[in-house]
Amino acid sequence: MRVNLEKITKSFKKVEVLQEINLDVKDGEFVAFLGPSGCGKTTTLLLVAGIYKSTSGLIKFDDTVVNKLVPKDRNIGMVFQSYALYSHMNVYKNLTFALMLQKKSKAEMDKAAKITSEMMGIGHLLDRKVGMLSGGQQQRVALGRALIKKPGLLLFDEPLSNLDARLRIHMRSEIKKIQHDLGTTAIYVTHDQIEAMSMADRIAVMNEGVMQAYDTPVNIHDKPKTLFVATFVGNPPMNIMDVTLQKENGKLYMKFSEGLSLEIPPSRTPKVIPDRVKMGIRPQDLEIGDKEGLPFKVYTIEPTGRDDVIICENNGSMFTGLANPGHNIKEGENVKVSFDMGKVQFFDADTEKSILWN
Amino acid sequence: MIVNSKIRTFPWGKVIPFAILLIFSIPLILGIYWVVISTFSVSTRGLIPVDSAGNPGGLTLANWSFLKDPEVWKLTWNTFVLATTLTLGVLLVSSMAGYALARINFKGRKSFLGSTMVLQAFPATTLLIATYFVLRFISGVPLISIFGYDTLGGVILVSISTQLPLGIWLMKGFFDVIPWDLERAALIDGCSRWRTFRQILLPQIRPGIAALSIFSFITGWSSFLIPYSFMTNQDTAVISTYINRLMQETAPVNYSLVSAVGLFQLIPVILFFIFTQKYLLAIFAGGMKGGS
Repeated sequence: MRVNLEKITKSFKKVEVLQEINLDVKDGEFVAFLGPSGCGKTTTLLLVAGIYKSTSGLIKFDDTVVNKLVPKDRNIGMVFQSYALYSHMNVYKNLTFALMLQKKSKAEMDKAAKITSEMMGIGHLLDRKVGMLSGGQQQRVALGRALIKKPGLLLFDEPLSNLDARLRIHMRSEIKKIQHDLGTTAIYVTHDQIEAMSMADRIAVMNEGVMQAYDTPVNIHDKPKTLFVATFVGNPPMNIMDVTLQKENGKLYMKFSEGLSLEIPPSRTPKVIPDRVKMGIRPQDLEIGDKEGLPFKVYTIEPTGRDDVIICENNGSMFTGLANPGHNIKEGENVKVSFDMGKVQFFDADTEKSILWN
Repeated sequence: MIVNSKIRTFPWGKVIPFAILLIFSIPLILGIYWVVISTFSVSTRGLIPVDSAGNPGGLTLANWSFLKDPEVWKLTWNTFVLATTLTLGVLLVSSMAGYALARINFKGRKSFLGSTMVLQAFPATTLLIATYFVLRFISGVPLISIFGYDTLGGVILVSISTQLPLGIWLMKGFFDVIPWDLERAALIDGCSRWRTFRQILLPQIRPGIAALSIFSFITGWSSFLIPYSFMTNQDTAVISTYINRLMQETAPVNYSLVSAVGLFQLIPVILFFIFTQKYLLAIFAGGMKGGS
């Protein structure tokens, strides 16, 4: 099922929580809504589900406007963060509740429950009350309940947030595999960028009711359209600094207030140069050494196992870099930071939009 | 040695609360003891049963002979009808009103909640005369005159309305803590809102329904003021008004008989409480359990 949102807005009383959201989801695509809490991603999901009514704009499923359809007529399945299982029913009844409402026969319900529960690995739990299940099992029941109707669209509202870290990683790949195998279109709301990056075909990054970017995970990461996307996606977050861009002898240079001047390669040359520019560079794209570059003082070193996160300071501004655990950088030491100039990002400091990718 | 001294320490932490509870319970325990004893004796002196001459002894079943009187059973039936219809009425209205107040945003919601709270603060006595006029008016209207003055229906109607503020607030509180997602899941599964209310939400608030039923039933069963004020007809009287009548007889009041009828009235309440106390405890523990 294809999903189209056209100029969707939503206000609660006088507070505008969504501003002109446009979005197209292809058939079978897995789309993640990513953003901090309160950014409007769950509101958007509930609009698609038909729980909320949009203030203006159109929602289309396969070119049919569904704005006026109630949730049960939208052919959707939804998984909630709290699972929202019917705690007074057993697993079988939870799974088949929707089929029962469709007045399916007992034989059909048994068959569907068997197939779904076995796919979810909960076939042996059908008689249990859901209150007696572990978090992971409840999650599987919730997923099974959404799938059993064979919906055209699956909606996920932070479904893995209540699971422990290990199980979360496991369920992440499982959900992705099931969605891929069934070929069902899915919209997945999360505030966890790793979930979004690893599961989704495309990510819609949202902030304060505005869609910041809608693109593939690689493009979201490598070609961030706004300063917000650049700093929200990626871990550790991207470093941002004020710079000035200057043309000299036909070449473009990036100048720091410290006097350092670096040449910008053609691949990173913006078409238009605004007055005030912010430069962004990811921690993995810079090198900390003692030969050349921007002078910094090492503030702290945070070992993570694979890399050490080096946090440096210069005149009150913090800068994050990565180093292999074998490094000999010490806290309090003076270092020089050099940049991989092929990976730098530039943003208009006033509009906070990228001047490379818009 | 350390272990030993621990064992020998006097358990003050357990004894003191019980001692305090006991002190405050003594008047009640003695009172109940007296009621039980006096129903089986000709007369009592203090807490000791005595016969007509004043000597200890004089145990008798004569006080319980009222059970042979068919009128008492009719009154018991009336009381039962009053208590059960009151309970059903209160449950029906409070659960739906509580849901609406917890879940639906409508004009006047806040002021309605506030006013039910204020109305509950009025003692029923202050409203007796006004209620009398309302019931008299209803008596004159065809079709609904069964809820008028001097009818059981009228007493039930008034009893329900005095019980509603408590019921609505209690039900609203229970609906408030049900996660929205549960309702959304049911809507997506294909329920109408009404069906979601009946099949998904009501089972979630079972402890609340149980508690409200108990409160309402006991209130209805032992209510006196409203039946006494609005039912003069002895055919439709209830047990509490019957006890009152016994105490107002011109002949010397037979307190042993009054006690016996009172104890008889208490039996269903005690039974009801025994079988439902686990729900009451669930409320005081604040427990909504389960995977919701």
